[in-house]
Amino acid sequence: MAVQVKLSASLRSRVAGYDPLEGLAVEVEEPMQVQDLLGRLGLAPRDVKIVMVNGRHADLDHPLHDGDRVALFPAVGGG
Amino acid sequence: MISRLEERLAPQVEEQAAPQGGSLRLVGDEAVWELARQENLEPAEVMAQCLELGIWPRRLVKNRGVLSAGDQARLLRSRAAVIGAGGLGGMAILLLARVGLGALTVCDGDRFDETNLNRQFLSRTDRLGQAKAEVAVREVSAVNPACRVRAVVDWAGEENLPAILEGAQVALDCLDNLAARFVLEGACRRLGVPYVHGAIAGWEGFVMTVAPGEPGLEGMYGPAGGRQGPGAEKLLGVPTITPAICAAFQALEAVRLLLGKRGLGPGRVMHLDLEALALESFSLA
Repeated sequence: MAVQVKLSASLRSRVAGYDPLEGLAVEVEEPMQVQDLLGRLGLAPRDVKIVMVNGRHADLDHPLHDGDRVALFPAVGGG
Repeated sequence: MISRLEERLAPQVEEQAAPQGGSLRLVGDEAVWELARQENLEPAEVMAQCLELGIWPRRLVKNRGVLSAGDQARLLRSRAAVIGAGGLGGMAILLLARVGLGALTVCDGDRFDETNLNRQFLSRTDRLGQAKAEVAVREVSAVNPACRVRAVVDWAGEENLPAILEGAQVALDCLDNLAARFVLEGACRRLGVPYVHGAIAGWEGFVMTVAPGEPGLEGMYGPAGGRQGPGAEKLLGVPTITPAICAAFQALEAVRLLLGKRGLGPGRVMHLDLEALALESFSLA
């Protein structure tokens, strides 16, 4: 199965070849949770402050399914 | 009072045809300030009373169409507290002054330096070294002298926030670090002041409106005092365009709050992505 991943801000440069316009399609095997996906992408859970799955707030143990849209946000505090 | 005002104004009110038929009555600064002196009122209050008579101050008449006369009068009788007068705050202050707020409180303990010039709208080469909050007073007075500005040249903290937020119906979080943002949120909650959060890093910005009792920063960043590493802005910088747009949305939310209109809504975050040219909102609930 595949999930569509969108990364925000500083997470973008952490995943090689990430395209902000297109996002990233990631092939994964079920069962898979958000935290497993982070591992696949090489992202540490502490660096991800907000997880959205299909437009809804989700936790790191949220199970993922084929076609899910996952958005990951770091802490942003600039002004 | 109001009918006397109308009588006194009459010779100085100009009537023009309104776009949608009927007539539009306008009054200029000179008449407003003259009346304010005679009646011992703030110019913003004179303008509000004019609007109650359906007479628009010229300097605000182009707001007509999105603001009713009643809306505009309400803004003229409102105060917003802008905490931080840097990239976000500088722009938010200028927008709120132009939209016709009657009063602003500006709090910032910092002074302008050269690294501010790329994005901080109140900074200028000839203002380096000057206190940001004091520059804000001068700049707002030049844009809209009817807007009374109180400057607090100090960092917002637990002790001084009650005084800083005094009299404000809304606060704008235009700070630049998460620790200070949590302190502001705590004070706003205790004092019952709704506030509009804005934060940027690189080409992205986030806006959230938090009324007392609604979910706030914890939903975005985890618990206050929890281990916040450095924000993404340390890596991605705070460039020119992003704070202008983010602050514009904060000012919009503040105006909508002041007018009792629906804004983003509880627990909703607006995410502005200038790299992907996308604007989306999502719920933290």
